[in-house]
Amino acid sequence: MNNHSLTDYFDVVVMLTWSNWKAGSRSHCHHYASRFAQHLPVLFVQPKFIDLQIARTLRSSLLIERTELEGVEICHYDHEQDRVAAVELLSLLRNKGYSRPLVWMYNSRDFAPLVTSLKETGNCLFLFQALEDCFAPANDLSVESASSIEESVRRTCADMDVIVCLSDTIRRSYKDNLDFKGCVATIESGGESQAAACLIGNRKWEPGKRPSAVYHGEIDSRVDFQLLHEIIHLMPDWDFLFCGKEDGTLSEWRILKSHPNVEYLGDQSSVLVGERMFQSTVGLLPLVQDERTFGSLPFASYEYPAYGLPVVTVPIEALKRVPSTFFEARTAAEFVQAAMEASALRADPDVVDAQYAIAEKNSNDRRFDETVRLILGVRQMLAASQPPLNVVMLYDDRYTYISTIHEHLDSFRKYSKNIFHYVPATGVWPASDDTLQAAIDLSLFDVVIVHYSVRLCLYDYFTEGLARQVEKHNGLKMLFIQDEYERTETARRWMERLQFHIVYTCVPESGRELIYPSHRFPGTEFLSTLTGYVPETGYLDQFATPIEDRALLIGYRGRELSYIFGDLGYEKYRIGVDVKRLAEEKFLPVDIETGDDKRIYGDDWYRFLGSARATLGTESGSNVFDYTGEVAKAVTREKTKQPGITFAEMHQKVVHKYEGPVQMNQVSPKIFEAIRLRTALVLFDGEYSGVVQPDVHFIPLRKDYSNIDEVFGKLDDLDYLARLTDRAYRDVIESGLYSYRRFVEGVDADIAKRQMSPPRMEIVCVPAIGRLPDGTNVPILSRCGVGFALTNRVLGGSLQREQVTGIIRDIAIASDGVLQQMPEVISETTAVAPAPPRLTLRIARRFWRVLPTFIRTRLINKAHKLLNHGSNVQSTSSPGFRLMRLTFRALPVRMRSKLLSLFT
Amino acid sequence: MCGLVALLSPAVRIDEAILRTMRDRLTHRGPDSAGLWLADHRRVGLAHRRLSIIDRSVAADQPMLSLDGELRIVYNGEIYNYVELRTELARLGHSFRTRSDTEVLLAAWQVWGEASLQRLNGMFAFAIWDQSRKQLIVARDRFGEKPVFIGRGRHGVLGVASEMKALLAHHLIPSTADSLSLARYGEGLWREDDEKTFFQNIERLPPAHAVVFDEQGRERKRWRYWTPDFGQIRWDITPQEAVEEFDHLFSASVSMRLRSDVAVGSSLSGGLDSSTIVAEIAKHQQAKNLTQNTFSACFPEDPTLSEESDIDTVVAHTGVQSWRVTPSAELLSSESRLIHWHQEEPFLSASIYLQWTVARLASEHATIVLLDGQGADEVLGGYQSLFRLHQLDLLDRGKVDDAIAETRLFSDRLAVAARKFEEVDRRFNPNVAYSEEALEGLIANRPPVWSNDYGAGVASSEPGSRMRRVLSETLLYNGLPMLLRYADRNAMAFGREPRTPYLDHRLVDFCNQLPDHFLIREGWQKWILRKAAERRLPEAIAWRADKVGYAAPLDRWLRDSLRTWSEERLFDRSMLEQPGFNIDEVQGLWSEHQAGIANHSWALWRWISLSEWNEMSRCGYWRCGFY
Repeated sequence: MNNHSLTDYFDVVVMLTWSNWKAGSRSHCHHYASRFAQHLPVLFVQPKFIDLQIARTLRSSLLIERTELEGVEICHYDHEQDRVAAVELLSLLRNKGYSRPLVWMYNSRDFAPLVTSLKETGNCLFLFQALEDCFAPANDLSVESASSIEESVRRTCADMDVIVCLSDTIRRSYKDNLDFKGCVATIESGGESQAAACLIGNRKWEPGKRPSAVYHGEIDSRVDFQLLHEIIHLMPDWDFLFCGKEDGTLSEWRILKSHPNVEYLGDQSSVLVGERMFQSTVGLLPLVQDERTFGSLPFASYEYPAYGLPVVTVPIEALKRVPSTFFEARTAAEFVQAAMEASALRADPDVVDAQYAIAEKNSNDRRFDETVRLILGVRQMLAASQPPLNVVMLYDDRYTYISTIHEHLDSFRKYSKNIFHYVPATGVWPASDDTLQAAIDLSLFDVVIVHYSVRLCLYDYFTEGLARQVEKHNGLKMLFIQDEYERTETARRWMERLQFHIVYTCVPESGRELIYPSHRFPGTEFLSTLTGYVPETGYLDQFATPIEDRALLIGYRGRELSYIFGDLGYEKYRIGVDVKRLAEEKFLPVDIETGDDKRIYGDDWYRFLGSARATLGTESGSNVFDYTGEVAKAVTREKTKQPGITFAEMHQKVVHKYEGPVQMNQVSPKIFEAIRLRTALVLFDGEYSGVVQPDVHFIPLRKDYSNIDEVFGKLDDLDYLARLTDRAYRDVIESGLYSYRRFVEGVDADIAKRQMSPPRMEIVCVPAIGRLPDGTNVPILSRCGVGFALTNRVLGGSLQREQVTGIIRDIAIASDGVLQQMPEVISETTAVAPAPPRLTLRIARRFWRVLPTFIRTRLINKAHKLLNHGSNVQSTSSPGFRLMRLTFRALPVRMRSKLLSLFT
Repeated sequence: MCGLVALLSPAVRIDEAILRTMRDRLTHRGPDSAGLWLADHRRVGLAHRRLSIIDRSVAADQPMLSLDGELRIVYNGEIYNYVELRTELARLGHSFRTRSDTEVLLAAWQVWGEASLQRLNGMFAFAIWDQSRKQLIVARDRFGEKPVFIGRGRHGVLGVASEMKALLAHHLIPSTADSLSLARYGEGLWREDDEKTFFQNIERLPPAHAVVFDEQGRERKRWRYWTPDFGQIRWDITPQEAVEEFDHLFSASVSMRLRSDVAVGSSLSGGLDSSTIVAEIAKHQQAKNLTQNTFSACFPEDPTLSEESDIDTVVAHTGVQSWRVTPSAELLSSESRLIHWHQEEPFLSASIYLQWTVARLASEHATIVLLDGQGADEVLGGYQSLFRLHQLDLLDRGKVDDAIAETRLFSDRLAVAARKFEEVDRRFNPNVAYSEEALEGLIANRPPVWSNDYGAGVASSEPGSRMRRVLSETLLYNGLPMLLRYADRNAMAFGREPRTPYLDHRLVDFCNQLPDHFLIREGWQKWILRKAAERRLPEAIAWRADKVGYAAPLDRWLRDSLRTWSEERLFDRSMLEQPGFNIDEVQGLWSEHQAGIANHSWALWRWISLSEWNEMSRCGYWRCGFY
């Protein structure tokens, strides 16, 4: 029993049809559309030629029309400009807020580019409805038409997840004729037994003046008019009723209609047709007798018993199971004979009741339920068997020296069940946007993620060529964003352009509608994330000094941020200045600094943090949303006017009116660092994203410092501190709740929820660079021969060594020119925002700069000599110098380069 | 005066929040109340912000539904003859629930349909959703006093709004700049004389036009419902008759424009046009014992540009309450973004800022309706440069003696007026007319008739009709519409309603029929107005010759207080990508201006304004809104 419903997995049904909604109220797709519409909105897509009036007037690639049925819309689709129409339809779905379509295909011919595009989204379930056996010979179709349909069905089915056939014969044929690995099922068409029952009520059938036979269905070349002629001649006492859409071009039909005992009811509404059917004596299915008919199931077959009618039919395999209703006949004489026999049963209430029961058992409602069960089953099966996807992460490699950024990026490589690839997406590349766009094909990947290091709050930060690739990517697109209060509108415009499906935001849910109105981002889901998680560095624990050995009461480094960040930004500075003053008044041992030059980096920071009993903290972020940069401009203007302006003055003059209404205060990564080092937290009152609780995990400090004595007192109580820090460690670190592993698992789950399709392709990697444990890079890209076949995959099958080596060789030849430019690429990229050197390097450099110039000159000369490999140097140098050089050469290459960089 | 939004979204249901956001982008136009209607199927929506002026009750709020429930209207403006129309409609059996002109307009449409447009005397822009015909009707007044824009977005979205910022709040209507408009602006050819705007997907509905859209947002019909006739000239009218008729029409126009349930005041520049209006209002209000508030911008420290003494004269004569403001360069720079936000497109003159400060002044003194003299120069030939065309017309018609006599009177009078001012060129050009010597040369050899390629309504471009041609172009295409945009946006930024008595269509039709010599006579431009004015104002005002345009001392500001601010904008990196922007040329203009060699303030402002607009576009103001 499946407890799920359609809405758990789908948010729209897209029906790609051959039908005209307005004309086909009794068609299979019409019945299904109206039933789906009770659960999900239905987009009934029909090629424009179906509706002649539309075909004449349609100027855009799509036209949406409402229907009389709530939940069903007609989408007139200009298949002649199918690529434009496909893009437009995808955009329409997105703008309607639909992201998980169930694509129900009837028409295999007119929607190929649309199916491709939908397929690329990775979030659709595709179902092909096989109404007839297109592989069986059909007497009414030309060879060309038949083979064209067959070809289109073959092509279409390759993209399907499920094929639903109207009969077992069709199913067998599809199985036999297609190399299809997915699910092929039979769900026969049913009848509208409920509607018929309502219409009939308690009435009993009364024979009319003349017996009548009724045919209900499309009057086209599938009807055997010759047979009908003969039957009508043989049964002059009977009336013959026809209802359904007629093909007026058929001369046989025109002749047939002219018989005095033939009545055409037109393509009328169900109520009128139902009434006439109820009054009739028998039903007829006089179809062309060929393999196709034999294997099919005429759509209205179970309509007849719904009105109590027995049916005389040409042989149809699926109807043989119900001989009490469907009387088989081949010739006119047999039809007459069977009609006579059947008519005798029409008045028998027991037989009629049995007909009703058969109709109910084969009702469209039951068929629909069966179909829904099938769809849900397939959807769950696909979800359960989802292999790893290829994900590409676009990021800024120039800021990975910041540990939180590096850890965030690297966590996906470490913990994701998907395969991650990384591409720097910022900076100046020596190529035009067009070249760059062509250089990397993001469509190889199932998922594209833009990392928060690519700062979308800046207008031209994201490399345009790559942005274009992201823009046209039809698959799942995700964004991690931070600092959303800065130039919010610029980021929003990027989001609008790149059309992300998921945005991981730091804006709390309460303020999300204000910042990211759902009407503006109808296809985007905004999910919460933190700015960082528990640091991963393995050796961090070594810096955690036992609490009893920590003499320093408080250790803190904060700095004055730009006034634009408002109260929250200023608190980082204020808490430092004020607590330092209050502590010093009481002669307490604290090390609190707020100057930029007092900042501590790298392991020294952890050492410092791990040596204090407590550190201070505030919520991070800013509640000042500067949507367009206007606030920053105003702040700069005021600062220019009055260089010594204080925060309070600036806040009063400019910033205060922009404070709130969205509260962006969040937990900062520093809180995790402190907990990991078992350092107690003295935090301003706040919510801290719900990660830590006052008096449970931290010591709350009121913003007016009215409880500062109490706080200082607690810092003197080592047992209290040990309990507090242990609890924080257990709840925050050991629980794993805020670990990168848990974070990535969450992201994986989010991807899995939205990605239905298997990976677009398997990406075979050829190694290029090896990294030694000391960080040295070794080129390992082979230059020829067997080296080309060095891959991460076992060769064989469709991937032979000749193919691999051939491809690599071709790439090498084609990209020779590009490779020539590589050094430029690196230098230009680095030139934009060079990563700051490590602390040790900076100290050494500072020391170097204070040396008198003449000493520096002498040292530089010596260094140059060290670099010089000429023999003449050897002969003239002193033994001391030679020793120095020998020592220098014995150093690892990396260290040598670093030393040299000091002098250059 | 209000802000309206109409939205058709055939493919995507309209989210009420988006319609509300669009509507509330126009809060400044209608601070008093707000209304919104969405069809059940949510593919059609109307929204409205109201500035209540006539029948301030809630019953007159919009969108307003017709009695039969078939029509819904959102409307911005005033139908001044609503009293007369109401009487006529009542006679036809129509009943009314409110005292508002909105209901009269709705009833007029119901009864007369398209023909109702001809009957309306007023300034208006409206959108009516006709439920039975499933169509949206949009119309705009004759001269374009009230704005209306049509935006087209993805998936068939069609929006109609009083200002573009409302349309740009819709995520499916792109805010992409229109490259053709940018190019025209860069080449100095931007005149706002057609449907194009600075945004690719937004068009302005031209004045005197109406348009019908079906439910799918497809345009079904567009037509011009009023076209002035410059060809029917009443040669037989005597000066006395002309003055009397003009006086009567003018007085009736002002009287009608005083219909209001809130305080009415006026903008007083000190010039002839606004002073005549002030005097006419004073006449009406004195009878009712009311005091008129007038609002003026003055530059006491710049006597060449200031009209303070003329304002004093008018105030003393009419007994009005005068409020004055002195615009400053510092405020212009700090408010520039906000002004551009309201104007929505770059603008060619910083004198807009004067109007801006006057509108704010009026709001500070709770005066909601402001009558002003806009349109008089276009209707009555007030621009100095037109005198040259008049000279040529006289020569074209072989009236050499008249040309010489007119020239002598005009130039002598200007020469006398020029003696009163230092650097008189900053105020007016005393040598604007062809000299008598030049006229002699022109008798045999005159320049070809100058005209633009415009469609309906313009006078014929033939010798002897030069001034008439330019007047008609200015009135209908390349002059007045742009000035009316400035006026509307400045006033509406502060929730004020400007009314323009000179643009009563009966008055305009009359003036268009007058022979040229009633517009320029005895060397006086706007002669007929002066004749009417002398009945209301002292001679020093009615017959003053030292006309000054509504000008800010931008030339000086650019050299001192605005220097750095302007430089930042003029030489911003983004300007290099602008079509028509030649950095060397602009640098040259800037240097000459700074050195005092020439006054290039107009040429420079054009680029400054564009730079400001560009930056706003880049920062996303149009989608985001102004916070």
